[in-house]
Amino acid sequence: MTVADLNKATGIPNHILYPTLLVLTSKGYAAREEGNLYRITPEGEAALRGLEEGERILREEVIPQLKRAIELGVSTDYIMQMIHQKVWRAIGRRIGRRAG
Amino acid sequence: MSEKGGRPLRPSDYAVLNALRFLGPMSYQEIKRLTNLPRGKLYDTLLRLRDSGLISFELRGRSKIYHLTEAGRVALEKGVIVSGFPQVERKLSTEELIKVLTPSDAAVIKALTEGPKSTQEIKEATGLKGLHVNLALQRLRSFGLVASERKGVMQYHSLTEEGKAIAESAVKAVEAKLEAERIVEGVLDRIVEAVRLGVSLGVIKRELKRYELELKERKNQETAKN
Repeated sequence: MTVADLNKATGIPNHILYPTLLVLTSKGYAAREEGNLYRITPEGEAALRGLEEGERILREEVIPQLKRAIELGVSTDYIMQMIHQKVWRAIGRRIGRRAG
Repeated sequence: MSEKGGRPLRPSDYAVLNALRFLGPMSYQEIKRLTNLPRGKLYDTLLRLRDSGLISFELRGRSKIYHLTEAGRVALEKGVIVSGFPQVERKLSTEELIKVLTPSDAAVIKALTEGPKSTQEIKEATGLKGLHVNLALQRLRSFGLVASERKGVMQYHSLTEEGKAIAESAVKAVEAKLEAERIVEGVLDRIVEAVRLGVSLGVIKRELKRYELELKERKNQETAKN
């Protein structure tokens, strides 16, 4: 697919698509072929499947449980703060937050 | 120094007041880093200065930002805590109070809802260590939720009217937070698994925010009906 095709298919503007494709190709998730055509690699497909599986875990197993905490009157911000701390401790790096 | 002239400032008072005077309002952690005072001493100093009206604080998120009051400025110039200066301490709202209460504060409040108790009785009722009970009592006294009275060698503590008013909601809120923590602990492995698969935690935040708003709207509609 060319960048123009990707732009049509996703609606993402070109100035965002270019750096995204650069990152994806450098990670080996996408490959650039002759004629400026981009295609997904087997690694990219695996990462996509992982992402879908991760989202399924959150939607089906995690979020329904966390909704119980909201029903108890605890705020989303407090729950997210707790999750960030615990996840960070569990995997040893900051998640979804910029350093500093 | 006579009582009339006021109590002289201690070295730790100078350290904290000067830090706030020259560097402006700051959090507990920043004061600790700048003054290099041990945690226990800094906590006592902040309580003492606050009770004397030399500093006050405001809540920013979950942390307190301390700043120098006019009385604090005068005290620094004179080197004494002058009595009779108007206290500028701002009363915390119930919501703010509930935010800053810790689980041990809630346990002490719960124990005191049955009536006045000595420190030892609170220790037995809550199962907390003596140090934690004393710190919780100190905090609750500074918020005006608990009053202490010495009878012989024993000190008895009871809830003030304000303490009684917020006791139930405070205990409920802290228990809810503890339950929320247990829930998060229960699904933590799955969250970590999802994060390892490359999912952003923003997905959880968006869903929970939406649900929180939905619950609020439902509650508002119910109160409007009633």
